[in-house]
Amino acid sequence: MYIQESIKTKYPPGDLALWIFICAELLVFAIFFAAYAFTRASNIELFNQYQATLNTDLALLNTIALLTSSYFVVSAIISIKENKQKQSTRFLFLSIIGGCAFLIMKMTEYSHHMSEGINLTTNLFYMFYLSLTFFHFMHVILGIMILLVLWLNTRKGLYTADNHDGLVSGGAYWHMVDLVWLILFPLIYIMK
Amino acid sequence: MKYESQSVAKLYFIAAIGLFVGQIVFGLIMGLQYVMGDFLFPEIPFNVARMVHTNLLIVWLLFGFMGASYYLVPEEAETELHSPMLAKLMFWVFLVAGALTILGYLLVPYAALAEMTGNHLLPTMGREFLEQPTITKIGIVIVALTFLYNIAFTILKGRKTVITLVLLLGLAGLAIFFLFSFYNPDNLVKDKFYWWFVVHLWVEGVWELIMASILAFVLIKTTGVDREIIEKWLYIIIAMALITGLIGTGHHFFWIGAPEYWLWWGSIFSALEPIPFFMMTVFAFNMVNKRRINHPNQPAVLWALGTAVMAFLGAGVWGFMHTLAPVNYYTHGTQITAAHGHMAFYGAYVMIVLAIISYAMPMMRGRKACNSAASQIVEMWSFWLMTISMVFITLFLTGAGILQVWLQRFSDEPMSFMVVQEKIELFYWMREGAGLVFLIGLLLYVYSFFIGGKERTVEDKV
Amino acid sequence: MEKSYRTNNIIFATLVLLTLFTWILGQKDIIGDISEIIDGKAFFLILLSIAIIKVHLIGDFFMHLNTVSGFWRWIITLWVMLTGSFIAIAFLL
Repeated sequence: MYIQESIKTKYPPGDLALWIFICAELLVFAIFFAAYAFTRASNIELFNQYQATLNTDLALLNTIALLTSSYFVVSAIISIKENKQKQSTRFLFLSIIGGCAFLIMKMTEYSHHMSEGINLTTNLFYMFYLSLTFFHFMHVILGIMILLVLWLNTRKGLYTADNHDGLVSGGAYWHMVDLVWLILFPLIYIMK
Repeated sequence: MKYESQSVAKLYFIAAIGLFVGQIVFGLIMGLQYVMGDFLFPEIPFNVARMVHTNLLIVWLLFGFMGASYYLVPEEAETELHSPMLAKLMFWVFLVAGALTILGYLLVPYAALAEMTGNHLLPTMGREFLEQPTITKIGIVIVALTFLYNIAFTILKGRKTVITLVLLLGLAGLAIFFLFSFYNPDNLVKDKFYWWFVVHLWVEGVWELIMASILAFVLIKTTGVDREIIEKWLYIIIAMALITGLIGTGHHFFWIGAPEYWLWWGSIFSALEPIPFFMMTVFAFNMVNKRRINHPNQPAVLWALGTAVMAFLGAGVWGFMHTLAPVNYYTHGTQITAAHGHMAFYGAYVMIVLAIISYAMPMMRGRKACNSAASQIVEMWSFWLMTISMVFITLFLTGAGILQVWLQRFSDEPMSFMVVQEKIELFYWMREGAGLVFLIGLLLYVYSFFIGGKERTVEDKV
Repeated sequence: MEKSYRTNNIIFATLVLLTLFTWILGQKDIIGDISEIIDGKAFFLILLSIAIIKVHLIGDFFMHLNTVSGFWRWIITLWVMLTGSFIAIAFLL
């Protein structure tokens, strides 16, 4: 269903049920972020000390990977609104590449930590760092799986200019994964 | 009833209700033993009454789930059951095994039962809720596998709907997680882990899937709302239930010797477990408000709405109350847990089974859609009596729990367990009174099946 | 439709630039010790504000909430404001 830009709707584009799911997910992350911030408040030195050991360059590249991927999803939706299925399929493929790039970079980071023998019990900072990023990591995997389904559906021509609710809903989930990282990145890697 | 073979569910439902009555009787005996320690001693000691009370609950709910599956799967799959014979046979196997086990609990000392059933060959006995002799456990696995086979083949040969797939996922999970009960490591920490893999992953994991799918079925039938809408909700509810429920297992790992990070993981994820229950409440009321038909079976709709509300209160709110590690540090294993357990089991699982029984039973007994108006009135009375008395049981136990935490663990001069138990006696008496009302409600429920009369139509008032 | 592409490009470029800015603020070897330039609280507030703006942009443009009115219009913004306030309370108090 194509939404005229001038007419405002009452509910967000896509499936409302999925938006409720997105809200629930955001709530989980909000609690995790608040828990991190408040625990840090009573262990400031420890957190600052170990935050300095993180690789902010990779985190920057990861942020850009997710942003680019999100950008391509939006492009895919714009294309489908013009009934350009082929172009939309290509955009979706690129967004999947973006997600995979994130996973690969994150895994190099994890393997680096593992080689140093760091795990959940090392200290409170690493406990939060690993828990939060890994929880987000799992969401990226889920998001990529959703993107794969969208990609296959678009390839099959299931979405058209008049009917692409599924694409918009799946896209919204992927943007959620992205925007959570936009908080996570400064919060864990940079803020002190 | 659209398919002949659906009627096997009747056996299961009758057994379920019979065992339910038994469970409540033992609950009352045990409730009295809280305040009169030697009541029925030595015939039925407290530990035996407790074992019978909890084991009967599990067994009758399993009967209820199986009956519900046998009823709704053929209708959803639009085909006869794969093997009604097998379903009947397994019913008797399960019933006899269950009855023998309960008799074993009551007639011989537990240690003697363990020896009689060869527990030393594969020790699995002696753990809370999983007290069944190893041979009974093996029986449960056989019954469960045969049941799954029967259900899965019915689904495979017919129409596949989201409801049946979610139900199958739940039932398969139920069978798989039960296998952890066969592993009984000597290491106490490990032992607790595996014990929770059964207990938690059942009631806060896969059982929720079963509940959600039965609820969705009853709502589709009684409201006439589009299947697509109901299925969409079902997807989200089970996704949330699984995410929060699986990782939420961590709230049992706080004090068993597991690493510290479980304090965080357990607290955060289990704190979110109310969300799927809340969604279920919103879902149920939404569907009933959007209904396209007025179903003449009023009690079935009432049970369906009731289960959504009470599950949220009992499992959601009362669970949340003591799930955060800093709170649980004080409340662990007190009457707060008992309060939560009572309302959660009643709200989530007892009521959903009663909802499907209420919906299906009239049709299996040869009616078109529902019972007579007189019968429905009695059944709705039983709904309110049981539900309200369960609310009071929960409130009294919560009161007892708060006082217990205060006197025994929080105050400057903590008192010993038994001294505190005496101080909270009044709450136990009130709980026992509420329990008696619950039994009256349950007996009314049973009585409502025996009230005949002309079948109610939508126009008749109830 | 050309307009949609253009908006999309502008938003994307803004997001990347803000991200780069956030990253630079964390680089000791580029800008030196940040505490010598600005107060720690101001540093935190700048980072938090950038994050909030970025999330708001994602909600409004990528998730198309600017086509919605009423409660859902603000759902993402509301979330980031609330989460941001919790973080701010913990960092500043």
